[in-house]
Amino acid sequence: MSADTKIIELRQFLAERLPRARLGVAPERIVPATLPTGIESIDQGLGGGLPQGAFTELVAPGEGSGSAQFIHALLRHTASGGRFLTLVDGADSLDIDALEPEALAHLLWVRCRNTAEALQTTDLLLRDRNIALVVLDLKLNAAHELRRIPGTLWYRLSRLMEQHGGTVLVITPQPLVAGAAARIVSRTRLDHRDLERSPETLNLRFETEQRRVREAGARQTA
Amino acid sequence: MYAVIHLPQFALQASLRLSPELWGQPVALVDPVRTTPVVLETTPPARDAGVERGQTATQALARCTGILIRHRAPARESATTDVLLQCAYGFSPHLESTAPGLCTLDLRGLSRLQPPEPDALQAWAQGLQSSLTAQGLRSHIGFATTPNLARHAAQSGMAVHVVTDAARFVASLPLAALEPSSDTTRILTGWGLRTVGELLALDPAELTDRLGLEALGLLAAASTRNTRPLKTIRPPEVWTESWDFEEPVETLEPLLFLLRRFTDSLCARLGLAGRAAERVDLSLRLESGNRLERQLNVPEPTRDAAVLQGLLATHLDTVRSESAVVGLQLTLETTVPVQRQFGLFETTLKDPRQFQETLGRIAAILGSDRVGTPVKLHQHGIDAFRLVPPEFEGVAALSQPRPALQAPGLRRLRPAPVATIESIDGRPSSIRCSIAHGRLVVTLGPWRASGRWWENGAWHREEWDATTLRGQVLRLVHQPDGWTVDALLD
Repeated sequence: MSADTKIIELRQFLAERLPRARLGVAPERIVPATLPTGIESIDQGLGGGLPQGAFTELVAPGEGSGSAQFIHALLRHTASGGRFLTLVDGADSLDIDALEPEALAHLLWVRCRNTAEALQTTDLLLRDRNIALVVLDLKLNAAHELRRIPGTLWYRLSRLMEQHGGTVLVITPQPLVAGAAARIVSRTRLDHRDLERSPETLNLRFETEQRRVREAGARQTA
Repeated sequence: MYAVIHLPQFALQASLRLSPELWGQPVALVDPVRTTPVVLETTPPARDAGVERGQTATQALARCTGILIRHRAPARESATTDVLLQCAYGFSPHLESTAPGLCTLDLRGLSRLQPPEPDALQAWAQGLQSSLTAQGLRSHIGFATTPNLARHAAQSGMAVHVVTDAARFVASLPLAALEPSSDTTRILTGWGLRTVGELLALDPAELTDRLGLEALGLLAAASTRNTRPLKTIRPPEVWTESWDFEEPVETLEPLLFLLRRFTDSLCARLGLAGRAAERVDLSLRLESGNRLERQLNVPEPTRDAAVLQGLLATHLDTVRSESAVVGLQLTLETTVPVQRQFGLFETTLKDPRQFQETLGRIAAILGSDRVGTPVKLHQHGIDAFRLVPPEFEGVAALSQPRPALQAPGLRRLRPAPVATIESIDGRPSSIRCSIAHGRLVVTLGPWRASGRWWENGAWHREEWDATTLRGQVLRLVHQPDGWTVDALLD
């Protein structure tokens, strides 16, 4: 049996066992399901919003990076759609006074004291198929705690998300999440003059990076 | 029509209520208060082995080496009486705690039992017995037109006994059912009387001449018409189960095993009472004499035993004690369950039970005050809020996604780090604290605020916004006890 025949048989075998596989032909374009953030630059850059069933990482380096403004904007947008947001607040830093009671009614706030608690509660939340959107805020957590997070943890949590259809946005001071489907990098620099401005007029600048496109689960969550 | 619930071998049932598997083993109940403890009651395997009432514990052990000797515990009997009354209250609101292991119910007003057809009574009794069986209790139920007759019917040995012909039923009862004194029993036995029917056949006047006033009492007890008002009570709304271990427990499994039984029993009773648990109080008694006590708030009132079990298991996973556990007590604080009418287009949780369990687990890790939906308090102050259980139904969408507030949000630092501030001309000029140090290049302020000056707890503070050389924008707060960094801009 020639090598060509073997290859043809192998292709036939794979086509039968894996009908979605396309050998030698261009892959079908897979459009992932997304959750819009309400921030135009991010939604455009990510093809509609945060990819569902996957990690998105918001890297917010340095001071005045606008990560808190992003959380507030995302909560308002989620609440305006009648949906709910779960915030795992790694350093218990959410500013309640800056948010409207109507927006807060759409928030499940998990107030953690350290990174270990934040990761443990995120793990529990991802096992709950009721939770659609989780924001894991590690921006103010100690660097030595973040360095101790094993890389395999993100893959394990990814598997949970694929099973239960949750979407997670992780906010970190530096790139941390291995295997994130998308990454947003904040180029914002807020200073004391911004304290006088309305949140709408702040110059929030974000760059997006689509890292891995894959089919998001068709699961819809409440 | 009256019904009487009789728990045969009440003291033994109370002792074995939470370990029903022991009914299949030889067990003898002894009263430790007596100088020479004797066997009060035994399980069928113990009886089969020759252990009888009145024997000493030593004699019982001699007849059956594997017998388990249990001490009578009045606290458990009292708890079992509560369980009996709580179960019975789910079937009739008019009930009397007649005696230990005996509960009389007045069935008047129960529309499904009017008129009292035997089939309907049988079905009603089976429902009641199922509830009691779920609590680990075996019961006999008697129905009759008077409380006394119903009691005799319940004590007749039949699981359910409906007295349809009262005169015939009374006539067939043994004389002992009327509980005559020992002297009278001896006299009546001497006359050759064995049943109540034989007694009633005698002339009442002559019987009274010979036996005195007690004869009137016996005839009244044998009457098929004499009734009496019930001393109706409401069952205690105490939802507690407790247990004392014979040997100290060092591992989690025995505790969880027992807590599962506790929660199953309590939740079944809550269901009958139409209540739901909103808080769980767990108390572990340690060998050292100390107690480990913890109050666990249930995120949403529930009577789902699995949710409470998940909550307790998560909490116990985190418990470390200095010595072994010798006893535990579980108490449920209850409330009226929340009733909701869902709208046609409202989104609901896919699996509310799982969500409650998740919240419970998170609360066990972080504390119940650290998970929930924030609600601002109606008071003038900074960071004034409380957390409430999240509501996923009927919450209106935010009408305007744009911020209503005119200042950007900050990141709060909880607890606020203490700072050492140096000032020049009354303005902060440099800072030293755990998150920043060095010269302050921009300072804005002060903004002063105060509150509650009209009562205890008055506060006043002075706020400054300052920028460090690194570009950190900090909110500094000066209070009488010093400087802190309350928040930063991010």
